[in-house]
Amino acid sequence: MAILADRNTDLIVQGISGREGSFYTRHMIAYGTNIVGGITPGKGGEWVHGKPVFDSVKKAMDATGANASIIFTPAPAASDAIYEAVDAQIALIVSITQGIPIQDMLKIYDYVSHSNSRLVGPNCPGILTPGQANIGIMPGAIARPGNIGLVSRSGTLMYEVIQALSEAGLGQTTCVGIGADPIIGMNFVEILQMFEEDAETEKVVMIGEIGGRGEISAAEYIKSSMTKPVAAFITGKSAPIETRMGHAGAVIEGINDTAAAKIEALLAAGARVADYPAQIPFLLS
Amino acid sequence: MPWRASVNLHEYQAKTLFAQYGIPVPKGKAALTPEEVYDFATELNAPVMIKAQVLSNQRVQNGMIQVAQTADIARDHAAVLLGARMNGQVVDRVLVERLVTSVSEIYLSITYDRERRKPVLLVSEMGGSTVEQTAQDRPEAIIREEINPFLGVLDYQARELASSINLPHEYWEAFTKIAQSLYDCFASSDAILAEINPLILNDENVFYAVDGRMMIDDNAQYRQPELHRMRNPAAESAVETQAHQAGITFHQLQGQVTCMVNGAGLAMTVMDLIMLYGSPDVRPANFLDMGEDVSLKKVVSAFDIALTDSGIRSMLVNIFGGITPCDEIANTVLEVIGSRQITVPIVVRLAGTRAEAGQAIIENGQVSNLWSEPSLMAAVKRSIEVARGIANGDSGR
Repeated sequence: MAILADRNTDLIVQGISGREGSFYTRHMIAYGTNIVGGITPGKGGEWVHGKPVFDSVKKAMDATGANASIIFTPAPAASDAIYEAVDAQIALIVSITQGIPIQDMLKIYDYVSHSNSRLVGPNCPGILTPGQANIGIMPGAIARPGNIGLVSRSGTLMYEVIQALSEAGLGQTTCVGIGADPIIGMNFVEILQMFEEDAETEKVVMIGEIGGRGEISAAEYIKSSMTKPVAAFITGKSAPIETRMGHAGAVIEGINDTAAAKIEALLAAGARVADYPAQIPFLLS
Repeated sequence: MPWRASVNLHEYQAKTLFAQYGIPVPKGKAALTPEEVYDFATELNAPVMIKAQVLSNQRVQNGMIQVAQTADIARDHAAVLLGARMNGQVVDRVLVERLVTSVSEIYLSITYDRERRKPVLLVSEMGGSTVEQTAQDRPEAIIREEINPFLGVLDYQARELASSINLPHEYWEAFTKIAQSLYDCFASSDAILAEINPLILNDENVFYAVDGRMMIDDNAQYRQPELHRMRNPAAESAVETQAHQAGITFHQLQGQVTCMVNGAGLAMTVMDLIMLYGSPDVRPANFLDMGEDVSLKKVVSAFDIALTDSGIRSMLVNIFGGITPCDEIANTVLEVIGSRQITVPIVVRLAGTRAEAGQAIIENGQVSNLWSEPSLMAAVKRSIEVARGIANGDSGR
């Protein structure tokens, strides 16, 4: 089963002709991801790595029946690319793009939340369902098919955990990088909910960090609604407390955005919390 | 992520923006010398306020804001404030403003709520520097309203807010205009915070934004060049500026192991693990995030930045290679060590694309005081041992 992406995902790549888009298209094809085409406005009719390029998402969907899009378009044009994908009513949008301004993301989130599309990211490494689909920039070789669901805000830290799980013989259903930006599409709770409902996922790993209240909300969800065991790792314990400018941040975030507060909330919710990434496999067995 | 990069505007800069969006601010001017302060105070017809331009929520408590009844006294205050230090910043200018008498002090700000993923307006009838305490003690005294980012602050929302802080209805229209102007200012400036604290009603029943704060999103630098020129280089160290230009996030800490990592989450984990296993004698010397996708150019810049501190006893390089494979990173590491004649002992941990090839290059590099470790934990422990070895007068190998 897995969540969000599997072998039935037909993917298009927005920004397929750019440096990153082209590099990672090859990377995703090499993994076996079913890429059906790409979009670069003005380059319709060309081919990249044997895949047809279209001028628009709509044209690509009409021609290929794609049901997911990955966006590598650079930040200044990324919001337009996301709106285009939403308007084309594609089911899943994964935005790898770094550096999208927060004002753009506030509008994008509002727009996406009133549509039937799901947005993962931006500034995320993507979604990896081992053995089926690699939608993004994750090193697929470190993952193994299995029954652990993974969700993380940061990329390379999640790779550490994937590697540790695989080395311990614990494969994964799906690994989801939700992104490190303050405003993102799908959040911890929404992904945890999908893992809870996924028949194949038996245990869940969540990797969080200081800042924001996402992990606190996740702890509340784990406590109230999850039956599957959860292991967590929270980074940033030794990070100096951020000097906040103005008062609004402190008023909104409260005192719950430290690593210590998040670890406490997760422990109270019944999750097991690791001291270091490679400890996670032991907490799951 | 910690340390969200932003340009933090000084009060005088924020107020210039507020005025451009039609928010009433007291008449004033920023001055660089006591003589200028004297001239402005005369021009503004003292009494005036003399306000040191430092980024802090605690200026009043630290004597950084003074009232002067005459231009002479204003000059004397300025002579003390200019050149004074606070939070590591040197006061290089003061704002001279006509004194406004406040009858009531309101807190008004717009920021975003990352959990709700929406812009949010905060208002309280208990403005001033104690607003955070108020938020803790009496959360109901801070009213929050979510804003539709496509519509801005609607009239009815502003009226409701005005009513909720017990503003008499004759002020609702003026308050609505200020709230809507502040939202325009927040959205159009690519701000992550626009804060008026306090917004006062004076003895003539007129609103004034008496103090203000704005933070501008670093991601919007490409379309807000003027606001980004307001970045205060004095508020960051030379090496932080160098890092910022190289696309590297760098924060100096007090420690012995300098770190070079790709990805903020992994960089924090490296710090946490050095603290966990090295404390109390060995600690991380910095937080250095090259970004998830490293280029060879960034690897070179990161070395220069990571080795600026003098108290360093070892260095830990932890890179998960992606678009740039580990063998290329390893070759660059060897080149930098050679060309910079680096003598600090270095532990390298490479993972990801072509990790084994990268590890082999480091191991066969014929460089003394250089170790390759296959796992994060082994690399962290090695870097701590090496730091301790040198502390004991041992050569480290």
